[in-house]
Amino acid sequence: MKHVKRLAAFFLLGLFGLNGCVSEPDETTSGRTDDILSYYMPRTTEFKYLYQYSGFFSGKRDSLFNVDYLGRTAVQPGRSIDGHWPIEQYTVSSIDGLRSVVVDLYVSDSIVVDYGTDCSTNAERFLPLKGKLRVGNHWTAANNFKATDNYNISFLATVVAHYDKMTVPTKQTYNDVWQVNYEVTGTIPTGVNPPKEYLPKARRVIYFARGIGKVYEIAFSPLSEKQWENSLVSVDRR
Amino acid sequence: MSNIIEDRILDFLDGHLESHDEEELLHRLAVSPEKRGLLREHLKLREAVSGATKTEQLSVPTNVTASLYRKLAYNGYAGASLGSAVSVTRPMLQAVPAMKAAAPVAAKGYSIASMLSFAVVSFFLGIGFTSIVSQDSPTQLASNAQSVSGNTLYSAHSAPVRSLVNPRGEEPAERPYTAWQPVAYEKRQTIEVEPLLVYSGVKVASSVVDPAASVAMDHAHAFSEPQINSSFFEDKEVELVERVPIRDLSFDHFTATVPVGSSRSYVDRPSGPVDSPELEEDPTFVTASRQVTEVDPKYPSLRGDFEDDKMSPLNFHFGDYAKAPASTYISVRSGGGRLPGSDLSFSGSLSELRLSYQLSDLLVIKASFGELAPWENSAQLMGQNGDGLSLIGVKPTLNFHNVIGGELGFKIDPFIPLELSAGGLVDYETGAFYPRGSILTSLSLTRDFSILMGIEAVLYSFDVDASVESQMKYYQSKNPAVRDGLPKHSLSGFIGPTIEAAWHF
Repeated sequence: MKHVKRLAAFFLLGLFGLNGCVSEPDETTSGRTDDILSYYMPRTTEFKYLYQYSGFFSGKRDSLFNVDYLGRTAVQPGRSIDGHWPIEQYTVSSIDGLRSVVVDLYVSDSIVVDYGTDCSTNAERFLPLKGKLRVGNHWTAANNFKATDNYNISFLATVVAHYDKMTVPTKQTYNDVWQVNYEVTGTIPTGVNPPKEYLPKARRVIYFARGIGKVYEIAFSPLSEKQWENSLVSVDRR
Repeated sequence: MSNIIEDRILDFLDGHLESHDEEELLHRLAVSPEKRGLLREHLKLREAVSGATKTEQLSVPTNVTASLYRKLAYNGYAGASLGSAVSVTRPMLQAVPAMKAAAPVAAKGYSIASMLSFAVVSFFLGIGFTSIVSQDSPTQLASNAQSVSGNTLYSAHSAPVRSLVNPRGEEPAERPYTAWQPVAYEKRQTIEVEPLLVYSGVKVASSVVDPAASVAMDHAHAFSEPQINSSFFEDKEVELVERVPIRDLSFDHFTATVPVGSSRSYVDRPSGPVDSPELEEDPTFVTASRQVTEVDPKYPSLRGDFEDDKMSPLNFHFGDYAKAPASTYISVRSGGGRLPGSDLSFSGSLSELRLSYQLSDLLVIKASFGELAPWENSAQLMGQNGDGLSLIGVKPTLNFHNVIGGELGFKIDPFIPLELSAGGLVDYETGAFYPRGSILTSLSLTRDFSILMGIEAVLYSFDVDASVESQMKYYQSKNPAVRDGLPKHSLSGFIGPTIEAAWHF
């Protein structure tokens, strides 16, 4: 009888101990951090990024652009208009070679500043990331940003959400993605007819994947009509 | 003259002789070695009959019973009929040990609860209570027993022999089991069956000492050879010990292995004597030697068998293992329940077709296939966010898995027969493994059909991550994004009741 009780006890322990054989249910896939440098494009010349714009240019449905990090070029542009230094650069060029621009960039562990083609002015100054990536964090991403001639706007950035995974229109799936929205604020001068993406209340949505950077970008009109989108197609070694 | 002396000897042994007749008889015996030999033979015969009675190895054929009742009727007896005597005698004799055995069990709390449980189940199936109503209660049986208690001849019945031989020579019902009975082990016993010799009492006593010695038995009137019913046995289960010569006939002396508590006539005996050409009087004594031994004494049979092979649940005793029909069975099982800690009131079910094979008294191995239908925290498309991004979330979803399974069961007997099983199920489409375990008890409805009931648990870690990946691929064209903080795994499955209907073969 004693052996029987032991056997029964052993069995019951084994039966109800099955719970111990499995993972805890609240274990999550998220390995996210709030460090902005982890979600910005790695600053190395080892890789080149290929993006695909949809509806970006009128009359041409899709456009493919390469993004190549240049680093600190031989001809340093010097300090930026807001005093940042050193300035780094990357190029955005269409794969047909017909269009190409060099973009000035400043990156630290607390701010990323994209100056556009000239860091000595703030006409195209844009802060895609700043501070810590936490839902609800917000900052002014651009002020007096020259949207078109005679029309300057501002962007108010807000960290909206984090996703464990997401699939972009180019069918690529990325892990650990932050979504940041940039809402347009400003006043339209009389006689100016800017694109809908620059109208007040329009918004730009950018998704940053960890270790990769921007993987997906959408421009919406104030009425949430999609104006264009930009997806990362591939990251290749040079 | 010899008959007169023999009558005197019998009267003397019975104490019916007057004093002066005793003196005369003793004198005659003192001077006659032949008459003293006759006295010794009668003393031996009485000793043999008395021994057979005490050891309960005596069995009475129907014709003997009928003869006795004819005599009783001739002498003015107007009591119970032959049929009622036969039918009452057996349950009466069994009811006593059954009631004795029931007393200590009733003192235990679980017995009452268990009886109630089985009564409820019986009611559910519309079986049990009808048998309660139709079955003689132990009190009735005991009362009936009183009416024939004076018949010492019948009280010599032994329970094991009765369970094997139907005194009325009738075939039992095809499916005699009509009430719940626990089935845990196929208990078997070995019986040793020797030829029966029926003789006519005092007049043949001098010739009937050792039937196997084939002595001349001028006054032996009848022989009855028990016949094994070959349809019930495998060849290995019946073993011939010897052929016993009696007079000019030969009879089988054999052993057979039969289930304990069997209600069938595994051993048949002809209804009448096979050789009774010179029957002068109705036989009144029977000698027989039928030794019954249980193969496994660990599980004693505490319950007697009833005349009509029915057993009321009120007389149910968990320690009693009636005939376990067979060690191999095919069954259908269905169960379900909820997951501890889950918000769902019902978190899964399992339905299977199973095949079980008993390896030994303690081990049983099982194989199955069926459908596992658990609620799992699966990835689902949960709609879109404000930017048109399709969101993948997790919510409980009823999934269906076609599974094959294997189990190893341990049979124990702490207070009711229990089977503890553990094993696993494998989804033969995805290869996912689901561990399982169960605690079951079994009840026999008929000799070929039983019900197993108990608690079953199927608990496993569901791979939420794989589910998410699957959904991401499925909704790829909708640019799905996975909500933050989804678990990698979640505990799934159920613990709950299960019921299994088994057909034994």
